[in-house]
Amino acid sequence: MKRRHPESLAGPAALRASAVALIALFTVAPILATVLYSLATVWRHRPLPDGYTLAWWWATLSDRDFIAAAGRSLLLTLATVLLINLLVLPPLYWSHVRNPRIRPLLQLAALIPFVLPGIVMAAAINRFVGLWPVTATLQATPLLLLLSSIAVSFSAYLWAVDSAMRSAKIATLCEAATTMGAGPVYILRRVVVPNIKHGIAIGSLLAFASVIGELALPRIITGSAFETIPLWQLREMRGTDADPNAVAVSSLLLLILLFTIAVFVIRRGRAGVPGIIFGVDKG
Amino acid sequence: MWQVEIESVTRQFGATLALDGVSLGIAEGEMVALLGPSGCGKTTLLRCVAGLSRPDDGTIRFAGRDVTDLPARQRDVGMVFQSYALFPNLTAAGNVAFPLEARSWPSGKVAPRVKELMALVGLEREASRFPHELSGGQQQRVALARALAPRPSILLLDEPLSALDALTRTDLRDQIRQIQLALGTTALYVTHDQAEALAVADRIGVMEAGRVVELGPPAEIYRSPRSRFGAAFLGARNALSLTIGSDGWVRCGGAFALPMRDGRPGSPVVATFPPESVAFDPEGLPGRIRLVSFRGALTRFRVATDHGEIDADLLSTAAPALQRDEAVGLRVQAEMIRFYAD
Amino acid sequence: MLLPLGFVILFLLLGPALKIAIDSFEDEAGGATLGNWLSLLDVPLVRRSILGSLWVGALVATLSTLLGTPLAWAVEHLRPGRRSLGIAFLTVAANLSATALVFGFSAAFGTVGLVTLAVQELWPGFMGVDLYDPTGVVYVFLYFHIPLFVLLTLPAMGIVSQRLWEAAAVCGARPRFFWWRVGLPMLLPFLAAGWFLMFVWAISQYGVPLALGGADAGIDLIAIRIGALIETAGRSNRFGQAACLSILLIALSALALLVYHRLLRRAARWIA
Repeated sequence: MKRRHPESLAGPAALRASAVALIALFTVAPILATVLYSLATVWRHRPLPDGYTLAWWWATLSDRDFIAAAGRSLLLTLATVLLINLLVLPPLYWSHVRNPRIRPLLQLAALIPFVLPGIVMAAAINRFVGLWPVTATLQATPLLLLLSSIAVSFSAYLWAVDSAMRSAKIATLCEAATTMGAGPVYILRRVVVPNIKHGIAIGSLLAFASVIGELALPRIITGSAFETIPLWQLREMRGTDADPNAVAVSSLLLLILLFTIAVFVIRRGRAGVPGIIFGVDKG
Repeated sequence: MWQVEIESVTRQFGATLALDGVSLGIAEGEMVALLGPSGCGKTTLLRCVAGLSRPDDGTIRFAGRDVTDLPARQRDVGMVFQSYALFPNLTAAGNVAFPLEARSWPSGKVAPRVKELMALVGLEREASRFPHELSGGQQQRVALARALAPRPSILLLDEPLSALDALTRTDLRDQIRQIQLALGTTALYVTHDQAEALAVADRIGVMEAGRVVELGPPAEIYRSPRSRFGAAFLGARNALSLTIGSDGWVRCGGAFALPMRDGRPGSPVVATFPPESVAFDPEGLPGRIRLVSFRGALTRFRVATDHGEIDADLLSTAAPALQRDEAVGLRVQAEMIRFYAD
Repeated sequence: MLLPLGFVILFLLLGPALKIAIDSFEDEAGGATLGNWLSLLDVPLVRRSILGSLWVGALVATLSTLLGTPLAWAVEHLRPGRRSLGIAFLTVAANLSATALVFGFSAAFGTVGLVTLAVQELWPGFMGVDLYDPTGVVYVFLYFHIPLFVLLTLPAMGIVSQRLWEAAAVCGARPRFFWWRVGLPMLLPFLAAGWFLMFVWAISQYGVPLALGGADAGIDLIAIRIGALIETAGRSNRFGQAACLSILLIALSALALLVYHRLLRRAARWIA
């Protein structure tokens, strides 16, 4: 006879499993529909398309407008992520290792973009640079778009890396390394970065995802002058020459890119998911 | 009749046998300590008694009543956890009141009982503090009060002191023992620290790989452990590998010579003896001092001899002023030596 | 060290926000006025957008909390491998770009969507989600707000640990008593804080309602109204009302975040 084991806290496993299966289904359904759209010849009112073709993929991948938009989006996004790394990492490192007093300041800074919605910032930045003749030349330029993208999307990165540094106890590690006679550059390269690279990866992923899908900033700041993928998709979803199949293909390309990075990044560790307590000092 | 009776309890986790047919009885008002290294099954046994884990086989009885299949909440036990496990959203007093409210005590009786317990553990003034506002020792005292609040017939303690600093540890250790004796509560105390077990328990059970290999009053098992494992685990005993001579005697230079009644000549034996049974004697086993370490009441000398290193503990007041590398002779009190087949 | 980041914060976040605040008190000629604020509620479209944002924000936050909480609990208690996979799924769902999301969502759950049509095979009356109805916004918002809620509350789910559950069991507590006295009170600050974050997140959305058709499709939200006002204003100075709405949105978000912060001040200690 098998004995009944004590009630578990987690609840019935079957209930948990079905809850997760439901979310998986819910998450996957739009993606599946998009996949079918990208492969369908004609799709009349039936659950599945009438026939399949790869023509949309070829058409989209050879569409000049799309290629140009993809190039602009990737360039903008990668530049933003790179600059966020360069801008945020040093002060964050400094706040953990040298001067803990600037940490609350950084955490406050990371909350600001939460308070200032993208659409508000897009409008406000345009207005702000228009105040002086020198900066007014920036109006509607890709450079201003890049700077704005940094401003609105650095916080997720900051939170992810901050928590990585905290859980890796960077300050203690650095002290230990210093007593062994290691120099600052060596410490940064061999001690700090290897221990927080997971946090850096998560933070970069979050920044990447938010910039590449951003609509408000490019629409208000540059408009059609610098058409990114979301703007291109928006054009293809509306109007007289709307092409839903092309939108499907481009969405999937982005999704594959994002999911590959996400799985790669998240499967590596249990920690590092930016949780709810970020921005709230435990002190 | 035993207050707690554990009868051939077995528990398996995957391929490892955590408990291998353990049997143990605890008399009413007695404190038994389970002592052993981590992974020996002592905590699993405690959890089986608490009802947090169910044995695969065997029976657990409380005062003759079979409780093996009874859930934890119906067992009338109190438990203190290594990590305190206080409810962080409740104050110290709220934590102590929790088991009373869970058992639906009338509200008029809860408050006085909580007050009484806070006084018992000396935390009257901290009653309205939250756990994170208390020190580790204070938190564990709240946990003790919480465990004792509903007057459980059995108190279970799972490594209650291992998260605390050394000073708090001995303090709280003695406090736990005093309270247990005053209340006459039957208790099972799990620890990996032999000094702790020796100090608090009426009887000690030494566990190894899911079995109780040693059971008896502290002084008795300290003096003459039955198993070699127990000997290694208790009292930092010296262990020397020797051979039985052709005349049936075991000799260790000038340190000791004892007859072996039941050993074949030529077969190997291990002789163990506590450090305090070693004395300096110029006629004894010659050696050279490797380490002198002052430990307060005792001073420990580590001496290298032809039979290996031997530790000797001497009362500091009576210890000779010897230095490192000085030559000495060692003699061991014969009645403290125990032999084990190698 | 702090300087470049400080520059970004000062000139690309705080400065512009201040400029907007000043704008809200300027008339078309640049003179000081309270007119923008006073006339704000006179415009029906603007009034509707404020009510719309409050309603959508509260509804989305409430539904995200109600549905996200059990889900977060379930994900937290999965085996590590599956948990990571679940988190990967949630991360993708929470971070889909607005256009891809709206497209995929309507292709799956819209009136002629994949799931809708499949369900219709079994149950002919089923109509799917009418995305071009103003409530359609709520469905799409939920699609990425629930995963976000789960991701944010995941670390909090761990604080109601097996350890505390066992301590309660030994104290003689039934599961219900444990949840009532310990489990829920511990989770509540986090869930409430999650509600406020979801509210902030929902009212600041612009991309998704725009991709759903924006103001043309009858979606009345503050963010959409701001966008529409800016586009009609061009580079002129007729910016007053957009500025007012922006400040309103900022104030709402700031207020909600303040509450969020208060809620978590004590409870944050419980996360080891």
